[in-house]
Parts: sequence; C-alpha cells; structure tokens
Amino acid sequence: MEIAKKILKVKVNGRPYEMLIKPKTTLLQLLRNDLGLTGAKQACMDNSCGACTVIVDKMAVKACSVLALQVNGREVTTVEGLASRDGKLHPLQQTFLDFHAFQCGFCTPGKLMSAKAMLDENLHPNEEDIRRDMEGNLCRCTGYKQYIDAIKAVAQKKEGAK
Amino acid sequence: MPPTYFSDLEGIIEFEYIEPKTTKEACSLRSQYLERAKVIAGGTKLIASIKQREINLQYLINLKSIPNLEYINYEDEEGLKIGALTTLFEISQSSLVNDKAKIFVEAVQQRAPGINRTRWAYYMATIGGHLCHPVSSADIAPTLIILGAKAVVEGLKGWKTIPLEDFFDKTGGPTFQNDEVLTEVRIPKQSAEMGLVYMKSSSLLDSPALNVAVLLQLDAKHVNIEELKIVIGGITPQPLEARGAEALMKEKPIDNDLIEETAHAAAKEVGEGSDPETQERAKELIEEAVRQAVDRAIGEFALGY
Ligand SMILES: Cc1cc2nc3c(=O)[nH]c(=O)nc-3n(C[C@H](O)[C@H](O)[C@H](O)COP(=O)(O)OP(=O)(O)OC[C@H]3O[C@@H](n4cnc5c(N)ncnc54)[C@H](O)[C@@H]3O)c2cc1C
Ligand code: FES
Ligand code: FES
Repeated sequence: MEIAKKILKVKVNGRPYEMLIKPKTTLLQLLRNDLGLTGAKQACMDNSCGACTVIVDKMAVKACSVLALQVNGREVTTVEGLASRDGKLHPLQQTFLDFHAFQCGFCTPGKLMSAKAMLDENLHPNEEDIRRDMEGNLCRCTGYKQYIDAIKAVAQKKEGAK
Repeated sequence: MPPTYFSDLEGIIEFEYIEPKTTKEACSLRSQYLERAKVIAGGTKLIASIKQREINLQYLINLKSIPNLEYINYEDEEGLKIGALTTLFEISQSSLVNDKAKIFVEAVQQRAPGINRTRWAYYMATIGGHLCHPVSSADIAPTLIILGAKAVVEGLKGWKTIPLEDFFDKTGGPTFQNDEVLTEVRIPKQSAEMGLVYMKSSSLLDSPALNVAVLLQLDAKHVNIEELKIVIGGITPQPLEARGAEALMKEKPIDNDLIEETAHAAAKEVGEGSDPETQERAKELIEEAVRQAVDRAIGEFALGY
C-alpha cells in the first residue's frame, strides 16, 4: 500500500517550514534527520531520559514520543534556538558553563530546554520545584548538584532583575 | 521480544494519517477500518503502544482535527460539560472545574506526582484518552463515578450517554463499539453538604498504585449516613464500586468500628482473588479515605452554623 505523505507546517526556532512527511515520523526524527538540528539527542526513545526534550509552544515535550504531525501549526524551540542570533548565550547556557554543570554534555540540551520551560512558567521555583520539574531529565556522568545550583542561580538572578 | 531500547517508529509499517472534520466522519472511518484503525487524542499512550508493538495499525485517525471537542462549560441544570479532547492540564487549571468538582482536580493532579517526568504527558493527555485506555482509567474514573458523571458517546446512529460506572468492561477498556467515539464527560451539579475524598497509594515494585474515591453524605439531622459511595481503582482493570460494603454503613450513625469493618469488607469485595497484601493495602487506604470523608461531611455541616 502506498502511504500518502502529509503536509506539515511548523515553526522551528522562529523559522517557518512547510514540508511533506511520512505520518510515522517522530518530532525527534524530523528535527534531527530532516532539519539537521541534532541538539535534541536520541537515547532511550521511550520517554524516560529526557535527552530529546524540546519546547512546543510553551511546554517541554519529549520529542521521541510525539509524532511530528502532532505539532502541526505549532512553534518548536530546540537548544539551537536558545542563544541569541548574535551568538550571545542564553543565561541558562552561560550559567551551566559557569557552574560546570556538564561533562560529556549529552543530557545538556534536554536539561536546558526543560529548565527554560520551567522558568518561563514559574518565576520563583525553590529547590524542591526544580528537583521535581527536572526529574524527567537523567544525567549519566556529571550528577545533579551542579545544574540544580545553576538553575537556582538563574532563577535568583531573574528575580533580582525585576 | 519487542525491541524496547533505541526503538523508534522506523521498524514498524507505514500508516495512513487521517484528519476527519466531524465526529460522524471519525465514526464512519472507524467502522470502515475496524481494528486496523486507531484514533489518536494526545497520543501519550498510543505512541508508546505503537512503539512497543502492542498495537498494529494501518490507519491513524486524528481526533484533534475535529473542531469543538475541547471545552469546559457549566450550567446549573446539566452541570459541568467537558469535551473529550480537553487536556488534563486545562482541567486542573480551570476555575470552573476547581469550583464545581474540586475533587476531580485533586485526582487529576495526583495522577502524576513527579510532574516533569510526566509533565508533557499532562499537557497533552486528554480526558477522553485517559478514560479510553485501560489502566489509566483507574486513576481518574473513581472520582468521576462518585460524582455521578456520564460519558457522551457518538456513533453512526447518533449519540447516547453512559454512566461512568458502566463505561468499562472487565479488561478496563471502554464498553462502546468500534464505530463510536467518546465526545464529552458530564459531571452533574453537586450538593454542597457532601464529604468527598480521593486518595491514591504509590505503586510498589510488583503491585500497582491503588486509588479510592469516597462520597459520604449525612442525613438532615447530621446523625446517620444517608449516602455512601466507595469506588476503588487499581485492583481490577476497571474501577469497582463496593456496593455490599457501602450497605453496611448506610442509614447508620458514624461509628469507629463500623468504619473499619466497612473498609475491610470493601477491600474484600473488590479485591476478591487478589493477594492478601494488596487487600490489606486497599483496606488501609479505604479506611483512611472514609475517615476523611466523615470529617469533610461534618466539616461542611459545622461551617453551616
Ligand atoms: C510520561 C507518562 C506518564 C504517564 N503517567 C500516567 C499516570 O500517572 N496515570 C495514568 O493513568 N496514565 C499515565 N500515562 C498514560 C497516558 O498519559 C494516559 O493514558 C493518557 O491519559 C492518555 O490520553 P491521550 O489523550 O494521550 O490518549 P491517546 O494516547 O491518544 O489514546 C489512548 C487510547 O484511547 C483511545 N482514545 C483516545 N481518545 C478517544 C476518544 N475520544 N474516543 C475513543 N477512543 C479514544 C485511543 O485510541 C487509544 O487507544 C502516562 C503516560 C506518559 C507518557
Ligand atoms: S530519548 Fe526521548 S526521553 Fe529518552
Ligand atoms: S553530562 Fe553527560 S550525561 Fe549528563
């Protein structure tokens, strides 16, 4: 049976795309294979590890477990869209660097996107909020203390700036 | 063994993606393709099932393409009406649902205590998908049952309502036909003087999370128990009401020993055939929930003065 491809319209990191895709394409495949955005990582593929996390509209989503067609008409932000166009790092990226919050970096794009979605929604997270909200993002080498401290620091800075 | 590691949808056969514009069209597609087709709502369960090769499909019918299935309305006469595609996130944020059926929001929120692990699933999962998938239904259905909720189901021949307690078969799946779609959940207006409680235990390694929802109402003199509903999810695939145990307490005054006896009877009634440890866990949970329901029923009364 010849399966009809479907039209997908989506904005990724501010750029609009319109393309024909196979219905079974996952959002992660679309980003990595079709758009060349390899920041979101492919690991467990069963929504356990969070390495593939991207933001759809305002929510942190595990791209491995969502069909690309499910984000039709929506706006996706990946780690590639975090820094500003002139290359200035997002405060979360800069603070992760300052706090040595990663070693191999494999989990980092997913962590950054989960943290961004959380901070955009909750301006005053305490440590417990951060731990709970970041529970779906596993790290196999650095451990968890540094990046929790980093996110706390960004949250405090944000609060101070108001 | 189905591959569970590094598994993507690459290895599975291609499927057609159909976007109906009306519920009727979705029903007609379902009746045409039967088990070769599945409807997708939030997809938080369905995509995992496809990946794990639990289901094999040739047609995926996207319910999200049907307009007007995402809403929350309230009228005194008919109560709350929630469109089947409304997400659990929207439900828990809704001031209407918080105001008219707080206990339901409590159940939705306890569904996923470790939020981010499940946060995206919470944003995307719909009330319809939740009720139409066995296991998950156990989580929120008990509260809907004590609230007297009804499911509105549409088929090729028209629509009908099914009381939530009759919505599930023995496998936990919905009882409706292959050519039908769940379109709405209705929760009738609640009386102010009821003690409503929802409690959930954590899952153990080899034992599922148990849930219990209790409704308790005292008579006009606030002496006897006029109405009692105890619904338990997680032991059997479909949520069950412990009708025999409820009868032990109805029309009787509140009594410490009677609460314990009722909890014991309810756990036995619903947990028939399950291991003694699960029954014991259920008994403890039910007992605690009934005690809290008593407190809440009396509390509402005390506030009335
Ligand atoms: C990370 C994660 C955590 C989870 N945690 C929980 C949890 O704590 N508790 C829990 O209960 N579940 C949990 N689930 C399971 C899942 O979220 C629920 O089953 C969910 O509510 C399904 O809703 P959905 O809209 O995504 O349904 P889908 O996945 O789209 O569909 C589920 C099933 O229902 C059918 N269906 C959907 N809508 C309709 C309709 N309107 N009419 C007829 N059939 C329909 C579909 O064909 C499918 O068989 C979790 C899932 C994930 C990925
Ligand atoms: S790859 Fe998506 S959660 Fe692990
Ligand atoms: S930095 Fe290596 S897995 Fe987290």
